[in-house]
Amino acid sequence: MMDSRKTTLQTMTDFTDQELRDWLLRRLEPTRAAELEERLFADPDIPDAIDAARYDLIDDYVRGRLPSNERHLVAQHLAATPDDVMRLQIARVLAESAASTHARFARPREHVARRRFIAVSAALAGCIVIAVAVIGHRDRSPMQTTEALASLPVITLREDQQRGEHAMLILPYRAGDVRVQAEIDEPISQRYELKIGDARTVVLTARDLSPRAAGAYRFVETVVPAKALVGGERQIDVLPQDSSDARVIHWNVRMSDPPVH
Amino acid sequence: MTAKTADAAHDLEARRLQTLLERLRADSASGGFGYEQLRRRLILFFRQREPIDAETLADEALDRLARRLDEGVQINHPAPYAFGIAKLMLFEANARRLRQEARFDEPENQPAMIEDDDAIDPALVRALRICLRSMDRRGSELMLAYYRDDDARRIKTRRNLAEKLGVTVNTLRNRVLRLRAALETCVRARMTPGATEKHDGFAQNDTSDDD
Repeated sequence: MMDSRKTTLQTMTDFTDQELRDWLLRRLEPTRAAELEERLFADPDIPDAIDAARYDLIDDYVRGRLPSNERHLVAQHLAATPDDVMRLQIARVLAESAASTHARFARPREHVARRRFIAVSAALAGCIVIAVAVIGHRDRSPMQTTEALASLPVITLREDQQRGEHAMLILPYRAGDVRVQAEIDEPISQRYELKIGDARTVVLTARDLSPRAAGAYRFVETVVPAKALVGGERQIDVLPQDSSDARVIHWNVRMSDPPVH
Repeated sequence: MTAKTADAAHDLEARRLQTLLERLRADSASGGFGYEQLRRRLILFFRQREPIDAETLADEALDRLARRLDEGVQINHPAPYAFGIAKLMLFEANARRLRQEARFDEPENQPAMIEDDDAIDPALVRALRICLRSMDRRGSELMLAYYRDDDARRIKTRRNLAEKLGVTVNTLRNRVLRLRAALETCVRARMTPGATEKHDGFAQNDTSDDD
């Protein structure tokens, strides 16, 4: 299959996106780098192509989509000045905004049969319609999500918390929306889905979650209504969308009851 | 330096700059690059070797180009000539560095890698929110859609977007680049101490190429 990166912009600049990225990361072959620099002063399209490649590289970096060697190169070369750092931070906020906007809350549906906590019949599960997902299904403008995101409580699910057959996380009671951050493991996939359910049904599905990074911690994040987590034991599963046999990361959680006044 | 000498130096500088601007304007009209376009290219070039000083070096290169023109040097193509100056300047900077290293027997400090803090400054979030709000809604939606996908889907998404808008992928790319650059300009302006009250809106990025 043809690498799509190699086709883009080639007709305009004769340099592939990959070569532009390599140049930005100071690893383009010297002869080719010299050609590119010469063209920089002759070709009207090159600066825009370089800037576009830089933004894509930065976006991939802040969304945790780069392999570790490239991450290091980006940190070394594209975060060299305070201006660069500001650009990275803006990219990070934009990524937050885009990710939250893009996370779609699917209607409740049955789990696939291979999940161990879906042992009951599909017919029974289909009858139980949970309103929680509908409550969570609403449009969020980029402004609303960016504004609100920072103030939401965060539930962090680490991989080491899920070990043990009966591992159960007790979460403090929350009302409204919460940010769920769930750790993912190598190899990192392009897209994930996060499902919340009980023993019978999936009550909420967030799809198209992009992997993100905070230091060595790789995770996906989505905003869910806290109501999806109350009412007893819940299972939270995170799985790559692009691989049918990938390992599902699983947590058992229980949110505390609301305080009595 | 007396006031009179300073005035003369200033006049000379102004005259050189004027000559350079006129020359580049004429060059731009016949398919070359204008002043800002050439400066942008120089910054991109220097940014690869001397990131901290890229803008200063670009200005120095343009200053040298202005001097050559003022001295009456025949320059048929200013952009490649400026590229030559830029390469020479890097060569000079390297030679200086080597001399310095030899003198002190230790390498000159390399620019430190700035830690990219994962924590997001709430002020930055606020600034971005205000800037996004002051942007044309279609513009902000277009930008978020354009940058939404990862490498595997990116090209397809952008092709579809371009098709929807009835433009080429390159036109779309340039349009979104302008939006993002303008968004950054707006956020930076709002993050500058004392600038918040003055800068309510979305700055237009007027330094980019039109190509």
